[in-house]
Amino acid sequence: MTGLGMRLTSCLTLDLRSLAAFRITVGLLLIYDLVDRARDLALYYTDLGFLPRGLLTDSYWNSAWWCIHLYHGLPAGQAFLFLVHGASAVALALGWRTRVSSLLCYALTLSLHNRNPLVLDSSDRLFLILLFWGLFLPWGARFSLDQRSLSKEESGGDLVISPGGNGYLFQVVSLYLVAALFKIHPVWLTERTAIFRTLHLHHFTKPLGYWLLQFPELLGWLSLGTIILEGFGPFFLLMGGNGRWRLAGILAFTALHVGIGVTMDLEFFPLVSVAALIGLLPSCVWRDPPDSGELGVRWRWALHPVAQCLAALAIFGTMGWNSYMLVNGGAPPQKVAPLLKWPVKALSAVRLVQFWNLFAPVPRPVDSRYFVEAKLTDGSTVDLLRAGTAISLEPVEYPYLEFRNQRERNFLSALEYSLGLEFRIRFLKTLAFRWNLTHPDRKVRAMKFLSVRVPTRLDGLPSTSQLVELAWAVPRDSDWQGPMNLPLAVPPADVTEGDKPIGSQN
Amino acid sequence: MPWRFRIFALDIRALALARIYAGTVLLIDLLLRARFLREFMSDEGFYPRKVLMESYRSFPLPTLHIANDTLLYQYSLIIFHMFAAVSLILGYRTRFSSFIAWFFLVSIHLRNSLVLNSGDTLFAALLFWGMFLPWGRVWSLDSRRGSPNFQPLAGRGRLYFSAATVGLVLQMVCLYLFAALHKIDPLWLSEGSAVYYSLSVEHHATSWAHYLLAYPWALRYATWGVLATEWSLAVLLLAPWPALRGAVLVGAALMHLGFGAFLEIGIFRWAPLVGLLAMAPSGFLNSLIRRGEVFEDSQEVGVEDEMTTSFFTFFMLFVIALTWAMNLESLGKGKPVFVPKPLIQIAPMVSSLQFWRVFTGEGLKEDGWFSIEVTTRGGHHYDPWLDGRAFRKDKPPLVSATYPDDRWRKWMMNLPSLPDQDPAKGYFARWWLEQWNRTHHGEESAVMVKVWHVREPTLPDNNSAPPTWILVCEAKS
Repeated sequence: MTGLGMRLTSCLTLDLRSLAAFRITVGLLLIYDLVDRARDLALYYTDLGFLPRGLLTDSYWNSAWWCIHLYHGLPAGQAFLFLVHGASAVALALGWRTRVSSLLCYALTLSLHNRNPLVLDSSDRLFLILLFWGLFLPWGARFSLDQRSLSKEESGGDLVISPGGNGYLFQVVSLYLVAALFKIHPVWLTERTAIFRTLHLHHFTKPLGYWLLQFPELLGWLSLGTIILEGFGPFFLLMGGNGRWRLAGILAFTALHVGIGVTMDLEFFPLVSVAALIGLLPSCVWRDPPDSGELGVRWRWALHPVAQCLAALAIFGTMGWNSYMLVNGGAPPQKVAPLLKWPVKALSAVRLVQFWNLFAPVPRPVDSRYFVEAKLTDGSTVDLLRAGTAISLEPVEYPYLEFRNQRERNFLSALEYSLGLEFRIRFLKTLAFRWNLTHPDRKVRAMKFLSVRVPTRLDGLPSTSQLVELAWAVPRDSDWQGPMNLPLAVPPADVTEGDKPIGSQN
Repeated sequence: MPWRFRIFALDIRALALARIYAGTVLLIDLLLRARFLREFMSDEGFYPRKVLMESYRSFPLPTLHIANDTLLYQYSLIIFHMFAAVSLILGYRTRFSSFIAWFFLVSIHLRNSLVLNSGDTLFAALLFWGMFLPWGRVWSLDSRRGSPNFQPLAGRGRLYFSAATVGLVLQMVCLYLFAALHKIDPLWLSEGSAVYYSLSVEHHATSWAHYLLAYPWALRYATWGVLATEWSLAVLLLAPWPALRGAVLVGAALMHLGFGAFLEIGIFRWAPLVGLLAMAPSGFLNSLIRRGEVFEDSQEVGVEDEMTTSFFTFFMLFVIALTWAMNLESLGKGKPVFVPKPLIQIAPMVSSLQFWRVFTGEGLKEDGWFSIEVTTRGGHHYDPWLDGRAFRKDKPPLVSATYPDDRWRKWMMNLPSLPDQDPAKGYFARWWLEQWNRTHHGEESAVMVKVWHVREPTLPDNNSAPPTWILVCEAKS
């Protein structure tokens, strides 16, 4: 083999023990995610919640999506799938029947994402993509129940170059490269206010982030450092040799994600990002030197020509999609050329579509807090988003603490910025329905969905907030009927409810 | 031999025959369904998933066929299902392909339950037991030496006994017993007119049925004959004497084929034979099969007893009990009486939700035909349902021949009984409007479609009430 060939080989080589650590991390993260989601099972995944199946399939659906969670509209049915999903995640973490459990984990996560795309963010997309590449990885070959009873020959060597491994490596590299390319903008390069602006998104900022705001100069250097790391770090991940350079790259990115995690409340995002790096860990992190040798017989399927073809298609698709995103400024294609129709459908079906323009090129210049003001039959006014306390629009010290979790934050953001009126009204009516169940003597008479927007000011002066009415509704008992109290239909946006043009001030 | 083996132990060759036959029935059912997949199962037809979502329908099992609604996906699923049917016939990875065959079948049934008849329920129940039976032990690819699923027969008997064989036999008993119990009705007993009314239901009556209607005395004896046959089947299927059981099975098969000759009942003709084949006695098979490569005559008849204290045995006994309980519940009118609610929700997951109330009750007198009236912009009226020519009010010569297939027959017969607000009705009329306008333009384009149910109840002595035209649904452009 020529020198170049050797070098390429060592670049693409992954250690099975690192892949196994990656598998275990992914399995544990999936369990964490499911437990977190299960807390709001009825709200987000059933017909009793904010997004009944009819509203989803009528108003927010892509014909290429696959969703088995549509089979049931009530909490019991969803809980059943959550249990199956959780069991597969445990099996994945333990490495029990790894191929089947990988497939179940991927398919059920895909389905869960499609059941409610409104609560997702980039971390969920990345997580699903990791599970996708897991389908092709021999990640059950170490630290697993599957390999317990195997002999030395059957276990094979520790090092592998596989199509799935290449795809996974390529995905991690392109994630950072694309994120860096999206950030080519003065606020990241010359003006360097990007992180300063980001930390002004109060619904994310943690106390340490507020403290950092005192040092705009430092934040400027951090902005520049971020784009440099994201732009050049991926080349370190591609370094082979003794693995020291790759390890350095991994540690640098881990530091970046830890930094993000301690200053901003992004919950799942830093965890998934760090997990994505674990499979790339070079052999030098493990106590024993790697066994050279062929891949064990049990995992030869990972090198099968079919796996190679599928992985190659997925890599080309990912590459094409990301290039398109870069050229198009991060907007998904509105009209697809006939030749590309099926590739795009296939990418959306497996959810390899990806958007790495987070906080780029310019972080959103406005920050929102949400309120649901409900007038009750006893004359009082309460806030249904804050457990029925008296409504108060006064600023609080740490707004990020007001969200139940990342799901609620994503959902409220989507309601404000990307969804139609019918979703907002449904949201209000669901809250009213749930309130009325527990407060039969103080029912909701009329309600408003409010957003208090605070524009980011770079000069440090206090900015004037703006009160926006996103929607208002008059809940009626007739909206919900039948033995299960299911809504008869998706409530229409009729004359008794509506919204004011966004931006109108009270 | 202990009595439990005499009654419930099944010959593994008979099981293999049942497997090959079940796979064939499944394959044919799927091929027939594939013709109208667009109409019944996809978003391009008149029963898109939207209908189910808008009416907040929930299903007992995760249903693959609603996870995506495009025609491409439905075709992929049905082709995969056909592969499972073929590997069931060949006996390749039998247990796995049995599972796929059953699970996908239940999923198809749930996706569109308006096109099902009792045969579908029975077929799913029999495939369910098939998953637990060793029906790939002989005459299969799995039985070849060197196959990864090869289980040697040496030292084992040719008869097999487990909770699954008990389940299968009792399922067949259930079918006849409860069909007979549901027939405690004057039409079947004192009047003896049930066969007359059944053959007069022109939705299913074949042209043979029309000949038979000329002999009222024969119809009366046929009524009592069918009832007596069902009762005796319910009892004699449990007969511990192989010769008697063989004769009973032949009788049952003839009865089903007879039903099939006079009535268009789709898969209900073929499904019961799966169970009957599986119960074929050894002597009968020996005389039928001259190639004795599997069993020499000298080989002793041994019984492989797998009724062990395992999880699966308990599970299967539970399913048997649930099946009988659900059948008992079906005898009552309206709400379940003694089966607790959680168990009722589990029943459809294990194909235990059954209802053998066929060809009985006042509904048997309902009769008529369907007609679809397309009004064009130019003021003409056409009927695309019957022949596409001018709309007219006279009765088609053979009503049962107006349906493209059994699924369409069931769909049309179910449509009028849906509540008026069911969105399926509106989609159906709208679909016909769009179909018409795809090929007709200008003056000939449709402005309105009306789906008519012409109701013509059967009266005694080959008479019918005057037809009444009932509007099922309509769509305007």
